[in-house]
Amino acid sequence: MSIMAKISKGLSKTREKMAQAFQAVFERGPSRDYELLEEFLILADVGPAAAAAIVAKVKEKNSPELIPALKEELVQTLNLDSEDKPVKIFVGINGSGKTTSVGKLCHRFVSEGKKVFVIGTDTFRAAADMQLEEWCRRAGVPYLLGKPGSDPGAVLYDGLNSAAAKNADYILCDTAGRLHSNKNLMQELEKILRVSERVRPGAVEVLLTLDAATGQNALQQMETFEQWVKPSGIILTKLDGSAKGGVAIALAAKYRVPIKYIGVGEGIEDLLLFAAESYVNSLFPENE
Amino acid sequence: MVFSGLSQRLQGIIGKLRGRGRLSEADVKDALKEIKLALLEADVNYKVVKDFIANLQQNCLGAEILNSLTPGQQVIKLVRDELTNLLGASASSLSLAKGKSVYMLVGLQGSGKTTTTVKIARMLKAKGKKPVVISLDTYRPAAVEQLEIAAHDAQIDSYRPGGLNPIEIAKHALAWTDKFEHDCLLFDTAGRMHLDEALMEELLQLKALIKPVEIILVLDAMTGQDAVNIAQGFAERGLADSIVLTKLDSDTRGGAALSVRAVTGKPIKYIGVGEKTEQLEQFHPDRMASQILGMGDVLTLIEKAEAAFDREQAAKLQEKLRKQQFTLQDFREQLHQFKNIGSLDQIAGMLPGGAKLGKMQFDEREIARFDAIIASMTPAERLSPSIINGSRRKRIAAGSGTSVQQVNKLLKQFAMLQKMMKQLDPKMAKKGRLPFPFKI
Repeated sequence: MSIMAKISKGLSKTREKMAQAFQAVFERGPSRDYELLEEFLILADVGPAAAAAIVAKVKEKNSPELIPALKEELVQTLNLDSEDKPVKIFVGINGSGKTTSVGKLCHRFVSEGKKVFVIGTDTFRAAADMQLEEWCRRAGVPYLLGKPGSDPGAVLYDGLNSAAAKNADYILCDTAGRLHSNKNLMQELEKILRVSERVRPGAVEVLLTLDAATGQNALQQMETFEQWVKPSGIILTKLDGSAKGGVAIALAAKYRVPIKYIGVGEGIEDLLLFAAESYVNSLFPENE
Repeated sequence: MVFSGLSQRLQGIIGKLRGRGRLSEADVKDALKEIKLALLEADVNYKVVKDFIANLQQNCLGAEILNSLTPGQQVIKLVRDELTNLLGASASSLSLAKGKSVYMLVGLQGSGKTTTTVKIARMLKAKGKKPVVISLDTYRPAAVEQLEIAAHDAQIDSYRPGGLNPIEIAKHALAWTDKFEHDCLLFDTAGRMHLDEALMEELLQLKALIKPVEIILVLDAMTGQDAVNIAQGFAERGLADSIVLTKLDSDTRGGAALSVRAVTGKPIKYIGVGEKTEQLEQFHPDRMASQILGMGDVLTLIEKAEAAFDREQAAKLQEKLRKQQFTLQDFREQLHQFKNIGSLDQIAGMLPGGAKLGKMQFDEREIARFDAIIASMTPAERLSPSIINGSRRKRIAAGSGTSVQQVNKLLKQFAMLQKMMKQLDPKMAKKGRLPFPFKI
């Protein structure tokens, strides 16, 4: 299956919803009901502020074709430069899909012929280590997992050294889920980052996993994670549901943090590189 | 704090209304627009917000509200009532069957089913039940182990029967639990999208097999606009009898909570407020509504005020006001009524122009002092304070345990009050809608 087809398939539910909303806009014909456009952006979780801003820009363009103007605006918002660093620390709230994303990204790198090493620092949640172990086995990569109750920073330190010994191209580090509102856990995360920066200076990036169904709270999540660990990219997960992941547009508009990958299913291959144009295109009905 | 973001927004909007003696239609419309935005930012479903605002607008723009002397308060009360309606009228607990109570927990991936399963089991155990948890999640790696370990830590029995698929496992589990004395069976299921027809069909089969007394939908409180689609997806297939909202210890504005009840009609019974297995709380819609508005005390005050000031007395008072016969005796009665309601600070907050009242530095003891001073006066003095001369002042001060200065202060303030009463708009007084004894 081509990448385009995969994104398309993953986003089919999203597209159906969007299509309905657009239909309504089209039916109004030349009257161009901008309010309706705003409504559908809000329904996609873009949020009232970002939706109003985007619609205002589309209005400004005053182009005869509403859809291309909107597409252009969305692509522009989402098209952000991203860098690629060898040590990737996965952070996010509980149940956002960190472990699954680590497993899928392992598979992706392995199939590109890269050497991958996985470090599991979730020593808190029951059976977190077993879950990650299973993914590593499926992807066929070496790993080091912290024992339940052990210190995540120490696990990471050992892991980074083992990875160096194995000459890994990529080191993926899973962390325990944490609510951004829990200050102690955010401090712990900051420490994890500090440790990794000490071992691999300049080679570390933080990836925030975000459930596509998340609403405007994603902005608060980003805000807090930004304060503590400055994520350099977002992994938008669970895009295969009816959720539209529109909050990613609000995030891109406000924080200029690029979306790097999207999760579109439970299979090990269901993690795709994010491409703004394909993503936006597949949101619209005429690409069938 | 849960909902704090939304509370702050709404309180700001409402604060603007509170201080106003009169509201124009435009004022109300502006406020409603802001409330709408606040709700959308809190992820309340767009359609729910639309209905909510439409209802509110209809009610707020009624002549009764706009013409009342406390339109701001009335609007706030309407908002609260509407919010409570959205959240569901009253709190409810888990249903129990006569014999064995079987529960099934369903929901999307990562919503918190496994943790919630253990939390509910723990709560049941605390109530003297004998729960056992069984994982039917054969999809996600280590899901079964997660439930087992978490249950073990919470000293809850768990059972891992053989079987390749959820149906088989459930069959074995039912046969096994028959032999033991567990009276509450909690089945944890694999996370699934409500759009996944095959997996939803599997849930229906499970439902037919295990016959749960209640199917509990576990929903992440941070879910956005899609929350209603998810809840509806499960509910319309008969796969959600009640809802548990998780991760409410985050700073979510909780819009999902406001939406799902309204759309599905299924009650939210519990909320998850932490990662530890004892962190499950009952959900109280009314308290939540007040909490959202950040005005629990003030609202109680409104109710208390409604109870304390009966209409007849208010009418009598008005008559006196109109004829300018407001006496110290009346003043004292008003002071007593105030005491029935609550502390001065609270009252100041709820009164129109209450902020000004606060600046007058009325303190609690002063009210008591005023009361004592008036009590030490003769009926004649209360009717016409002008007869209170120097020697009467000394007597009153001695009788009330105060000083002449304090007696003077009371008389001065009462004179001011009388003057203000005279300035009251006679048209307003005639309308007969003075909800509070006097307006400052």
